[in-house]
Amino acid sequence: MPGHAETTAHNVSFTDADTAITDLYCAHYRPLVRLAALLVHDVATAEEVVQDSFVALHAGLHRLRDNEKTLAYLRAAVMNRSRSVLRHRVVVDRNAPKPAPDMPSAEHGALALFERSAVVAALRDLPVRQREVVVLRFYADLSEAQIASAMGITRGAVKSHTSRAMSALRTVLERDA
Amino acid sequence: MIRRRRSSGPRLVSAEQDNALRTALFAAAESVEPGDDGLARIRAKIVAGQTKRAQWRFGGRAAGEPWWRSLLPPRGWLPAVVAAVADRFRPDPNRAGWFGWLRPAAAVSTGLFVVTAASWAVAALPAAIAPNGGTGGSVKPPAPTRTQHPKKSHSPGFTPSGSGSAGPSGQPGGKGGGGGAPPTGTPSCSPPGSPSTAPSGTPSTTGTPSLSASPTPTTPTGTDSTSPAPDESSTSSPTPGSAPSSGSGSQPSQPTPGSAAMAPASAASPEATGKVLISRGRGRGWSSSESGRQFRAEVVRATLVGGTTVSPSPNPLGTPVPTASPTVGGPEPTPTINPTVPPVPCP
Repeated sequence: MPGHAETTAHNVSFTDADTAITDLYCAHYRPLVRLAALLVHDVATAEEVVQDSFVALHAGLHRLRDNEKTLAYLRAAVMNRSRSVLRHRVVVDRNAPKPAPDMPSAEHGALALFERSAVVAALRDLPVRQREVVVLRFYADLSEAQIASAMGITRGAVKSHTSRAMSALRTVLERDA
Repeated sequence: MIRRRRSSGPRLVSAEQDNALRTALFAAAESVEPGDDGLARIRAKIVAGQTKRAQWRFGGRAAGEPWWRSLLPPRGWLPAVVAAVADRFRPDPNRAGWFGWLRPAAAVSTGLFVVTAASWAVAALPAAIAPNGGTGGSVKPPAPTRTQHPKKSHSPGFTPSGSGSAGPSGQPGGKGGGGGAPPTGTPSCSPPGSPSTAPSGTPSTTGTPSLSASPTPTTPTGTDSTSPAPDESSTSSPTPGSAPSSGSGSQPSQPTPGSAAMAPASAASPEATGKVLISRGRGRGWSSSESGRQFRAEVVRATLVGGTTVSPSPNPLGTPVPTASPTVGGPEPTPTINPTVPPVPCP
């Protein structure tokens, strides 16, 4: 029966994908959430970003012929979604009503804990591209080629962003010190 | 030339700063602890997406239904789509002020644009498909082609000017020429006053006797008649009517010796002659201009009329009738018989 065979094959592929997703989750979920948290400065949003990236990977896993590229795909998805979140946040912050001064937001505690570091505070002031380059290079320990692949830019652009980001961070940290 | 060394960012950073930055980033990241329900939430999202796709693909398919039913959208898809669209484009309460209405406004404006464009396309489509549709179906007659010229000049040729007798259909008062050339100075092949042509003359029969009639008039100036007259000379002559000149008076131009001389050539059939002339006209490029077209029509008309009118002239004496003065361009375009030509006895 073709319908039964089709359903069986479908379930088999889904089973394989579920297994792959589980393996990837166990290996890379936590670092990816931290990476996204360094980019979006929000843990809950970082988790949402990474989870959506896993869902997208599950939907497009059959298109990946090389299993070694799965992590790169996942990292690029996290970067793109983090960028989208930041872009959306800019618009929301521009038009959001101002909260009352005595009413801290729900995320205030987590952000306060997260921004306790001066480096992270200085990192937040960087442009998005420079921030991504710094995080990928000094936290994820990626090479320039990997950074270029994850961000979709050239290696020269990676070097340029890195140089400018380090110069800005140095200026901010020396001033604070 | 001094080559400037391109600076690479990380190389310029000292190792201490590099390590400090790395340590700070790791310390900040270590403070982030994701929730434990991450995998469950991922699976829930995956299942939700699969359910949506499954509802779209296999939602309306029962156990006994054929497979092609799965290609159709599921039952009740319209309310679901409407609900999804309404939910998608409803005002966003999270946005302050009129920004919440951006999405509904964009949806409405897009819908209006689509409706307007569709209505415009529907209105303009018939005109685009059939540009003549707006003329009420009146179709212009096609321009006369080359093969139609002989036929057009054919009918007036059989209804010579004024005579009204040669026309087989008895068309009275043919305007002779059809193309606007008034019949002038028709050289008569029969003495004036005599009954000009048989009323029952048919075009097919009229061309045939011209074979016997044609050799005779060439006797005085045989060179003129036998020489291949240029087409211009034969065509520039007015249409020779079979009847005595209706008088129009006029400047009878040259009685067409050419037509008489061309009569043997056109003896086969007028249409054949017309085709020949048209083919000549094509070779000369007449068809490219309006004057050439008129000229060609004149050629055909003169040929047809000449073949029609000269030959059937009833000769009561039974003698071949000299058609006209054979001198082309002679000073006297006498429509009568040249008296200098001795009558040839009838065999």
